[in-house]
Amino acid sequence: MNDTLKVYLKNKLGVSTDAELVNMETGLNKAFDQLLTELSKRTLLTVEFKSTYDFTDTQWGKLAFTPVNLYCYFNKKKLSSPGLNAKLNYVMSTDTTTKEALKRSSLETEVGMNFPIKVNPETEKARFEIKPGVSYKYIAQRLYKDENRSKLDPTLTLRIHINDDFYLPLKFEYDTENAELFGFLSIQFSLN
Amino acid sequence: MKKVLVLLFVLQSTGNVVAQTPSGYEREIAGKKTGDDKANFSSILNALGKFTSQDEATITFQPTLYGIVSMVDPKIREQNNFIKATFLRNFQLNLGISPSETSIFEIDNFQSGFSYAILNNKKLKKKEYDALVASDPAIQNLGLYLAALGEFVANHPNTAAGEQARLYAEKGLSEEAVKR
Repeated sequence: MNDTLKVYLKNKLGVSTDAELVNMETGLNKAFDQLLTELSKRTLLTVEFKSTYDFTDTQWGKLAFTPVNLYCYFNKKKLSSPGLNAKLNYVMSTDTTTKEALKRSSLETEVGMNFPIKVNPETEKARFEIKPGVSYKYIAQRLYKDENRSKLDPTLTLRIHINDDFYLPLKFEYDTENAELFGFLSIQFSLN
Repeated sequence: MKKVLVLLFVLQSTGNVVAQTPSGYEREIAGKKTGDDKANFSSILNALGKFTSQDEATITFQPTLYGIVSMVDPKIREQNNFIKATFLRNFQLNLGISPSETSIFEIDNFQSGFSYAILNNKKLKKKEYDALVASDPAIQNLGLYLAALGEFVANHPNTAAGEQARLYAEKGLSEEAVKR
């Protein structure tokens, strides 16, 4: 800010020091930024439907209804606030023993808590995010042989922040029945 | 895996070209969300490529209706229209394919569906802005500050100082955008 402007502003606004002038300028920016943070942390609740058509079997492979997909932040004022994600699915899928479409039905729940780690105060982005959780599956119809009706497994998602648009989510699922660990690597592109 | 990567980058580049941000505030609000949150529901579009050791790879493309409309009709990105387009912003299409193992032109299965956001109140309203201004005397001063800047610009046309003041004023909060 040059001197003419400074002097003009000081006279106009009735302040005497540079610090006061800067205060006036940044006071709102901070409060406004805080308001935007609170807005961004508001609860998201969605309902979903998803269908899968199988071209190899030429029939519907899966129908999934999601009455609740909740994303709720705990501390609405902090950028590094942990977020709770709970998802309830009702899935109708193919009975693979008889190849009958949409006969097998199950309830699938997934609850996880996402923790942003190392949030950069400048860019407001977390270096990475860790999301431990549990998935619960209850098979209501067409239970296969040697299969438990209900299943509770731990999951872990590690999401690495690459840039503003790209994330690398890596999801681990542990199968407690067979003592197996599955890993799913994805590339997430989110345009905002 | 290679095929999926290629597809994903094609989708990404088309998305980059056509979809632009609605406004500065919305971009800032979206920027404060965690990646995990964005994966659930996007402001404009999400694309996801998934590679697994067991199953086949999938690629999903999840644009909101707002994202699609903004490609065709850029006017909707203006703040006024953006606020009004509630349904378009809350409706997300979920599309996906699983390419076959043998050829990129063969598709094993096709996924389609939607997400509708019942609660997604993440936009700045005039009411909230007014409450913010009323709550803090420091903010009320900013109105005076911006007015003083504006006067300075008007009094110093076509000078370096006036130009600088104009830049400062632009950097400050432009109230018209919020009021609508």
